[in-house]
Amino acid sequence: MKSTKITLLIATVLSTVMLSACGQAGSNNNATNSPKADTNTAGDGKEVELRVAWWGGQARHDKMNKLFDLFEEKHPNISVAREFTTENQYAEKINTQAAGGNAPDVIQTSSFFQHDFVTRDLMLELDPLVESGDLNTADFDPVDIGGGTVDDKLYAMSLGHNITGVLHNTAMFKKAGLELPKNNWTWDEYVASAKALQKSLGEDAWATEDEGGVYRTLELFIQQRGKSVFKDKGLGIEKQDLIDWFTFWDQMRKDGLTPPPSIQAEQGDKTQEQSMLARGKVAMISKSSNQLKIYQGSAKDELGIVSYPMDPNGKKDIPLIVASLGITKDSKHPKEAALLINFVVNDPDAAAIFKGEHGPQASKKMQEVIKPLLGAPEEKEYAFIGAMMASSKPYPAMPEGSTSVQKLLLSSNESIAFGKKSIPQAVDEFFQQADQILNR
Amino acid sequence: MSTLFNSKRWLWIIPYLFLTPWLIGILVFSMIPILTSLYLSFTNYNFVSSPDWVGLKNYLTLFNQDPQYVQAIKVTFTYVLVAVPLELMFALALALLLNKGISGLGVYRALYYVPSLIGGSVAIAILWQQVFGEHGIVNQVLGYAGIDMPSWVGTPDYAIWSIIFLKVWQFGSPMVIFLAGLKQIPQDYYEASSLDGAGRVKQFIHVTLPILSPIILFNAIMQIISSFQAFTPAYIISNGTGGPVNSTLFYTLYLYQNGFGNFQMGYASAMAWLLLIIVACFTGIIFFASKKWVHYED
Repeated sequence: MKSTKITLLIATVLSTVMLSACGQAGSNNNATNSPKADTNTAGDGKEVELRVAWWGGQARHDKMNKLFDLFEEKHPNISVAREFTTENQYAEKINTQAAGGNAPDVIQTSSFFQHDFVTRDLMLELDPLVESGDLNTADFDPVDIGGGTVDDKLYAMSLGHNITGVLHNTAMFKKAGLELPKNNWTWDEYVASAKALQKSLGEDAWATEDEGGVYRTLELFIQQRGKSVFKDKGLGIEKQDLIDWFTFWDQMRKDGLTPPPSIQAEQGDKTQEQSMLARGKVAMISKSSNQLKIYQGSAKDELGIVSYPMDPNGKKDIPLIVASLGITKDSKHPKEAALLINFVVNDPDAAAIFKGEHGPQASKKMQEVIKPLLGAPEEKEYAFIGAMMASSKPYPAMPEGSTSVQKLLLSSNESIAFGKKSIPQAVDEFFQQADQILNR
Repeated sequence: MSTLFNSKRWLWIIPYLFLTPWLIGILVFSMIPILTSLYLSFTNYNFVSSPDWVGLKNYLTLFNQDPQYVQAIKVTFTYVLVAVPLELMFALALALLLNKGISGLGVYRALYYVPSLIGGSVAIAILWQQVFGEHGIVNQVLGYAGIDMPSWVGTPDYAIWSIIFLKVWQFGSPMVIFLAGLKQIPQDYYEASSLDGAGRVKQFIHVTLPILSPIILFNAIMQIISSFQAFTPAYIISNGTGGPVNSTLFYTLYLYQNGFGNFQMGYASAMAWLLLIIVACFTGIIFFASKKWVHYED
């Protein structure tokens, strides 16, 4: 009798402990969402395991998985462990992994992080691999090579290039009786369209998301004034620039053209599937051109893309964003990593799956391969890029501490939106704190 | 007689030999990192170049020039001073109820304990973000009662409350400890006091609370220390930003932003050591004050 009780007790305790341990492990995995286990099986001869990291939403995740499954079929001795996160946590994760000597072999980068990664000595120079033929850049578009170059050395192979534009819901425009916007439209036309849209959208949807706290759109606004938000290690803007920017968005909010601040704050930076554009809650949002097809995949209405509103008297240059794949400096398998990267950017079968996920692909040959496979959103995207390419320039480099300044911009905009601070006060505090952060 | 190699002389070393694995663990994984972080707090360190000694600059900047640090302290103190008493009151109330001898006590105890097991997880925090969102369950239920609230997680004045409620929801852990403590109060005291004419309230104040006081002290300290360390709910519910207008910028979240967002590791280390000092002071004050109100049975 006694031994049965004891056995039962031990069984209960063990199962509780294992369940709670599993619970902890399960919940910890939610953030990284890696479908394959991260066990290191290297060590038995030619078998190599590569770790690849990228950012995106579920749609991109599925695409990349198909891509790497195909790679594994073609190269049975290489297994690809996949790690992916959302964009706003990506740089932190990679930098932290690298600091711990635990970075993946292949990492996705973009114009936003590239400079930072290279300064941190994270990335392997790719020129030797290009010379040895492991990486092929022969028919690459020069802007793509430039996008992966820092200080005249190649660090990353471009996956595609894109430009920020205004993604808009064409059905909502038609319902408001508006003509679809044309490239190089002005700020006045933007506001007028927003007002007309809002009239027909009523109470439950809005003309545009509140972009006053978004660094990337501020950068476009500032570029039209011939400046850039960051300059060397400090700010490149003046107080009046920021006052103008905040005043513009405050007026947009007051006119009811953006969601109320609490809804905007709750929305945060969610992925495309959960975005307000896809759910039919806003008519316009500013994002990179390559995302048009991703949003279209989750949206019911037809979406279009048009350039970011222009100041007719301002500079017309638009920064170009290049997304790429690079190899980390400490990778133990640089040749295999190069094989993987070359596959993604130069293999026709890969291109058929990848289909210009980050914009028109670097290799002209691949652009030809995917041309017949492109759907309507991609055609709009390519037409947009074709029209705007001539006035593009490289993306400005971001100094250390820029992440906090971006967060500061967001909270400053929120403090104005919620009525906690006046615009001059918010701008003064922004400059004070940004200077303090960048000079720490 | 050879006393040099007499085995009895070396008996004293055996316990230390057994302790060696733990000692090595605590040294390598705790002491050395802790001391390194103390050193780093006096430097500028961004992982790329070697640490750059700056003396007290980090600490002075935190106090004099960083309004976000002041905000982080405000937010964290609000959280600790509101969530912990609320949680303990709930825990004690439920423990008292369950102590009345309901059938199925084990089931209720397990059910109430489950939030404590899963509450700190990422999944629950993501769920919480939805529950307290614009159209989440909380607002829907309040809507039926005729109360029209905006999104809790999107409004600066209410966002912190969603995180406070998450903490209070995890009352199961202190509740179980209170239950155990309640069972240890001798019934004689209640009988004797009711013979003297004490009503339920007086009994609670003069019998239950004093005898429970060591357990209240224990629960208070444990919950306060864990509240100061709260990170996951704040990070997930605010999408890593520290909430609308920094209203959920918890101390640990701000530390994380400085350390892993900006890679200003020296600054973040200084914040970590200041947190240690703050928590130590708090705990010291509580222990000191406990002499007045904690009553130990002998």
